[in-house]
Amino acid sequence: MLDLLESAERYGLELVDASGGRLKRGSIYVTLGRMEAKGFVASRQEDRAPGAIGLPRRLYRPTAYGIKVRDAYRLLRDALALKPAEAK
Amino acid sequence: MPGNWVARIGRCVLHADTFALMLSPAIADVQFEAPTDGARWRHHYAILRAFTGAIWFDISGDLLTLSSDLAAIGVLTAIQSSYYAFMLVLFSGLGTERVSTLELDGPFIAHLTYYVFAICVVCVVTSSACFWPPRRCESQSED
Repeated sequence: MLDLLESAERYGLELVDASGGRLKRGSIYVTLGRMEAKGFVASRQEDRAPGAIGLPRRLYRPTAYGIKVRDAYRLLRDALALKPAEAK
Repeated sequence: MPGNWVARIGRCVLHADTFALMLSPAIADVQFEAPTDGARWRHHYAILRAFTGAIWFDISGDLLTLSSDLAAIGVLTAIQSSYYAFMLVLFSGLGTERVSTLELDGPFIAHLTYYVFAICVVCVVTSSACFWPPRRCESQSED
């Protein structure tokens, strides 16, 4: 999710579309909400034209902390991954 | 607009932050998308999942908050349980004379245990409700 957000601010449904089926629209908002509560992403409401109806959509972007956590996770994952020679 | 009534309910039962971060974006994206027959049920499902997830998020957070008031909840529960147990004995027709002649056999003990357990459960619920973080129903004009 942080990879998808790194390139640009996105809406929840944009993330679902961009993930190619890995993210589900039923769980994306709760996940994003939890990530924002933990400081991994930040969000803002979209700028709206006066008189627009409906609730304003929310745009998400990764925080510097979120990017650090993602990089650290990548390092850990690579370090723990068994290489074919080690798996024997 | 689809989702308006869910938004109204959500404002009443969810914390303001949870509503803004979890339920409101789900409704907003559904309202923004052009409605098609095929996507209609997926939209409803997405809102329902977001709503249940948000409720679970709030309840788990509230329970953690309540854990800091366990002592006070325990005292309140004990006071309430004692009161209602006494009232139960009083209104069940068991005077002090009859109580002294009761046979404390298995069925009686079982019934007594059920009653006391039920009283304690109800008292825990009502005591916890006293410390439950408040919700506010806010009327907003944006929907």
